[in-house]
Amino acid sequence: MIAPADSNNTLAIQLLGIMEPIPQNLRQSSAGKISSWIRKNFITSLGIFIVVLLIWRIVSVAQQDSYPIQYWAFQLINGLTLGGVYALIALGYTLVYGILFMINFAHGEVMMMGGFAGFFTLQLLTYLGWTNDTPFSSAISVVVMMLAGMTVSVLTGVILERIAYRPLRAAPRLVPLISAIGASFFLQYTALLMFGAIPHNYHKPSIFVGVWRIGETGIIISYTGAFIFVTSIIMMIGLYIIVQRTKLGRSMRAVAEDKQIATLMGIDVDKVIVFTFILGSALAGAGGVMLGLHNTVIRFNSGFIPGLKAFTAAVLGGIGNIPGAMVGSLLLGIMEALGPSALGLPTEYKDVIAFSILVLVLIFRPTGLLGEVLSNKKA
Amino acid sequence: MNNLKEGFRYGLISYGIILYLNLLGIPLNFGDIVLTIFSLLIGLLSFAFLRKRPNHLRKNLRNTLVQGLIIGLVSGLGLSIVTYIFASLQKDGINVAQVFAQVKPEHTGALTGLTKEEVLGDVSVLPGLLQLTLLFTFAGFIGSALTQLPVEKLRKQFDSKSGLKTISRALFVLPFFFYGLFMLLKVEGVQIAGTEENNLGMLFIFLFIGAALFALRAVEPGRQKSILVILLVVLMLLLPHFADLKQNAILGVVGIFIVMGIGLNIVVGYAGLLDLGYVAFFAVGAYAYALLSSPESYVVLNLPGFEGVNFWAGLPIAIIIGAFAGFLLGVPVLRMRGDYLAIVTLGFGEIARLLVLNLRDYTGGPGGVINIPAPILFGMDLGNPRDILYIAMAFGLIVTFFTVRLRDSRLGRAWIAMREDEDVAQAMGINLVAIKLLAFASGAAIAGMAGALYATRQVNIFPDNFALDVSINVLSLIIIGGIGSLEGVVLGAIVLIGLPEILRTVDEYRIVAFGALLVTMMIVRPEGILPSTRRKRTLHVHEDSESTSTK
Amino acid sequence: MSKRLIVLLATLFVASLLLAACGGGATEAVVEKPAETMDPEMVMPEEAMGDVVVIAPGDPVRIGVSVALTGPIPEFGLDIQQSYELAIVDLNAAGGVLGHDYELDIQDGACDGDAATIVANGFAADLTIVAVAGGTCTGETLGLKPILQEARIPFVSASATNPKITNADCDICNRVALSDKLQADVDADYIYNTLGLTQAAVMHDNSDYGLGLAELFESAFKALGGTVLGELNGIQVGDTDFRAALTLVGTDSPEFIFFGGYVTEGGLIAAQMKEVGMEDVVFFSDDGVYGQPFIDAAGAAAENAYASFVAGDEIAEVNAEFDAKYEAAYGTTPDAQGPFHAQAYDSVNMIAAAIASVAVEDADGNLVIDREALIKAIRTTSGLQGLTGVLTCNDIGDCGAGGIQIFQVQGGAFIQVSGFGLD
Repeated sequence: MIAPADSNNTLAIQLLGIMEPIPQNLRQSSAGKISSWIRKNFITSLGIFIVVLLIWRIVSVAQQDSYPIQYWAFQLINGLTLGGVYALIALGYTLVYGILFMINFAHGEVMMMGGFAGFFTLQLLTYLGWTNDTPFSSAISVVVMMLAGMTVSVLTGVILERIAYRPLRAAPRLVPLISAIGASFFLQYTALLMFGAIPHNYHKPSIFVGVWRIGETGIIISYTGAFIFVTSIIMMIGLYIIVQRTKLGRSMRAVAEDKQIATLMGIDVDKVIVFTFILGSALAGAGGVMLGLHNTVIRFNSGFIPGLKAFTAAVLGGIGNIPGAMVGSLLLGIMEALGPSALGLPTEYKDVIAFSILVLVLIFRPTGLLGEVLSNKKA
Repeated sequence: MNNLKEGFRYGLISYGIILYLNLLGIPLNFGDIVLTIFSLLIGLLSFAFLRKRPNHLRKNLRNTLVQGLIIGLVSGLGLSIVTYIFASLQKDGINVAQVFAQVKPEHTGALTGLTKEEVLGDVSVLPGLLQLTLLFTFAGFIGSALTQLPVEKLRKQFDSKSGLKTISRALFVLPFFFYGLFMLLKVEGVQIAGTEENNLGMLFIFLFIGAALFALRAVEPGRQKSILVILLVVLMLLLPHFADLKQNAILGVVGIFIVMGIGLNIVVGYAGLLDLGYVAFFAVGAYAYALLSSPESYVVLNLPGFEGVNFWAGLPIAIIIGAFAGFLLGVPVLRMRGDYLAIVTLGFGEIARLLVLNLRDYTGGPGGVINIPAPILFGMDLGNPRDILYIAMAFGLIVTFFTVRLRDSRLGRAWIAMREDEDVAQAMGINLVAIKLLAFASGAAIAGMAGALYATRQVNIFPDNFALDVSINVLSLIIIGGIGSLEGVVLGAIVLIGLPEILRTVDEYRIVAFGALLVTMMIVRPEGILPSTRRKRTLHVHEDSESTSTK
Repeated sequence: MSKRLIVLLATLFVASLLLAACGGGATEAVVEKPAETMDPEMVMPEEAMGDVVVIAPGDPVRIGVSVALTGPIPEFGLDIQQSYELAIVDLNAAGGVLGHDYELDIQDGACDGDAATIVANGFAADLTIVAVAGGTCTGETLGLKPILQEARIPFVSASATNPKITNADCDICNRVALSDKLQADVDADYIYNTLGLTQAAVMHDNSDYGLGLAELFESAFKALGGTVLGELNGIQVGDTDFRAALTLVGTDSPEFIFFGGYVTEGGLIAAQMKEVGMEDVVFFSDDGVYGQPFIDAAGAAAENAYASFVAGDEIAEVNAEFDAKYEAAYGTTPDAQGPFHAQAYDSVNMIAAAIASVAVEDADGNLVIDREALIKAIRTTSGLQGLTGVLTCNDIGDCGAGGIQIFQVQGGAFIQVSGFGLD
């Protein structure tokens, strides 16, 4: 468990003496209560200071040029769609972390592989004429694509676990991290060599071409956007049920809690870990295909940035925590969409905003918004 | 029956590897020698698989040979089937390269011994595929036969005392041998193996440095060692005079990464703080010097009468600003541990890059800062690769000195205590806040120093130079080399930064190989190539260490 | 590490600094001294003078190539590389120079300054490289520039369009492509006067090239009297969802979006505009977007989008002949791959023509090329007939013929609607 937060924060003054903390009661007498609180909770007060600055900035921007409420609603929808994709990837990070306490750095690439599989399936189905024939065949082709993407991602994930992670299960945590980074490079450049550097353009099946307009508000929801959001919510609920209600889910939680005791209880730890990778990779594969359908492009480095963002989102929500991954992802998506206009900055600042939010949240809550749930052990 | 099944399983794995390399475009890029490469690989795989089986199975000659045949046959047939399908598609005018970018008619041709026109025309690929299958089967068979060699006996002989002596003597001589080879290339008319001389020379330089490090490790302290050290160092100092521009340029980059590696080693290796955003401080140092010195930077253009500082004045400023940045970024992450720290530092790294990219009025944005002046000493322009390399070597020595002193000081011991267990360290009266910030600040100061050197070397710097992969490279190199070990940093930089530069001609394969190397290293030798003795103990995987690593 | 070792290291540090000081003086001699060349085949005559490249009988004349094979526009890079190769094939078929063949040393400049710096250092260190063709992108070429200038190796870029590439201070910097300044002016004029649009939103991809062009366009459009709404809004290369940025841009109700950047992002922006309620807003972009890949990326949404191109003064028959050769060699038409093939072909020919004009044969039958003479010869290229018209370099190294063309996607193909060469 994390050490109590206020014990090691008595900052600047103590820098001079490395070993001996200055007794706190020496200064308490004269200084006011607020200043002593600030000194004790230096980091928290820093955070509060930044939040106040942010609010001041948002208010002053809003006074200068105010956007209509529809605009915010529209951006909220953009953000939720973006967050939906992040969530599907973030769940993979969270599941693996919850059980193995390792960052599966290559998870974004697992998603990218699924995206490629979906793309080639789409090409084949378009060639066969399924995608644009009838709404029914079009819907079927989407399902087939998703299945293909999930299958390839699951294969990639399982092979990854077998080769790059399983031999390192007992190693200190830096070791699997480097292994995962290596696997990430490996997969990315494998895709570059196998499929070429050229971006591959998805052509949406006919049922996905088009948008809904909501009355006169000017808010527009694309079919793919809605599909992503709904599907990701359904998948997350499904995952939650699997983890909480099924026997395998119980085994997963047991393994997360304590591998040795789980083994004693007759749980096959290897099997559970593989199952975890299957779940996470399947979600990532679905995410890859959906991302391809929504943004119509996939290329060898497509997994990297979404992977990084999803990882950020997972940490934001509290890594190892399934609802946390979801909340973190949606929040990150919304921040990216709304942030620049709320702070009156050009759009290229969206990633700066996203990462700053992460830092800020972790200052207040060092274990993320919802904390770690799957297991409360930490190395 | 079991026997066949096992062989079949090994065969499928070999086939998977061959198929992977096939789709990666090895046949297209290596042309006709691809069959030789693949056959060698199959032989090797067959040898490796069959050797690691239990003794009683391995001793069974018939069993082994049959399995070898099956391994070769399965891979050969498998590849033939895939190639046949591709060839048929190609004959039908379907462009397979739209899916697998490398599978062009020339690719099929290289595997079957045909030309592009023949593949597309009426010539059947079957004879070529039959040849391929036979070749692979033969290779698998040979590989299995080789497992019957009495290797154990030879090794036992070698492991005896005289063997060890030979090894250590060889280690002593090896660096001089490689240096000699490198110098030999300088002699007119000498050409070794007909490869690109420049790269070969580079390779010998790397082998020299690597061998030197191993030799220094192996030789016992004493007069012998002192002589060795002096000799090697003199050779090293002379090296830039013999190397050509390109070799010096590559060595310069390696040197800069060594300096950074030593800095990150303080943060990760000694203090145990996993920092994935180290590039931020590198960027701060580089931009600090660039903005203060380039005649086209915002600072120089907008400060009336300010002509820009020279390198030797800019360097301390870059170091101080770097250290300050480390201190500043250290404050909010004080309470975080482990992976939270990793992701937040990663976030900082990205924020740093995005800020220099986006604050374009001050930093030049994507256009970067150009025309950064070279260091000038006593009126001499030191901007060429050779002098940059000398400066990098000097920097390397300075930071080595600095870190060794730090490591052996009270502070260094406090870091190590914190790395081992924060709670216990705190209970022992160590001020975690102070020593964490000092670790960040000293690591960042070194990165700032490397950044300033990098800026002056590059002449132009762009925000893209400071992307996440720099952090990852530096982290990987200290881990590959052996975390906590200074020689390891040098070796890691050579393996991860230097060698890929030689391999630039096979550009994309090198990154695939880089990834595979990282994974393999972590599995085979997680403590790194040249680990520090203390780390070697803690990083070695024990059967019972699971409980301690998850606590 | 023992104390003694530390003392030793400190001494060595001082020694190395001293050596560095000596090294400073010695270096230039090394660059000039031809005997340092490592290829034994290329041993120079003893009386070698000044900065010359000496090529032994039977050895090729080597031209460095920095081309963007990875990065944001790999298709364009491949197109350029293949055109370079075709040019070399043609030159060698025509007999090369004084019996020597030409040879390319192709390196991946990856469309960014960082990779180009490494590539340029490689060329500078390789004393057999006489000239460089490339780089493909603006940032990449800016990375090449100072190092090649130091090494006195002239370059000719086929496709780097930013005005910063050429200037009076750089005598080795040349290009066949036209300047973005011209492109921005023509685009602004066409939009303001011909299309009659006055409300602009300007976006860019935060690259040297895209941002540079966006800023040039902004000032050109404002100078004409148009309005640029809000700030310049950037996107990030590598992202694929630009809806939030477009929604923000859309609140100002622009009549058109001008995008400075490359094809992948351009295609996605054109496609996603239709999903955020900007169906009636015109999409206008640049030569980094012009080409078939844009239509592939944007799909149906590409229809009616505009892109300008820095076109050469092409002569139909010569180009048809080139296209046929290209298709025979690589299996695709050059236009399906990228737009800069003619410029690329011409840039190698321009280098070769200059080499042919300065190369002389010495007594031993070696080919001798004087670097400074070559730099001058490239800069004084005049009246060279190429695929992109008659090439004549001005005093800062802009050599391209032709002018800006404006294209619109109609019926799934780019159709020229205005500009140079249209009757």
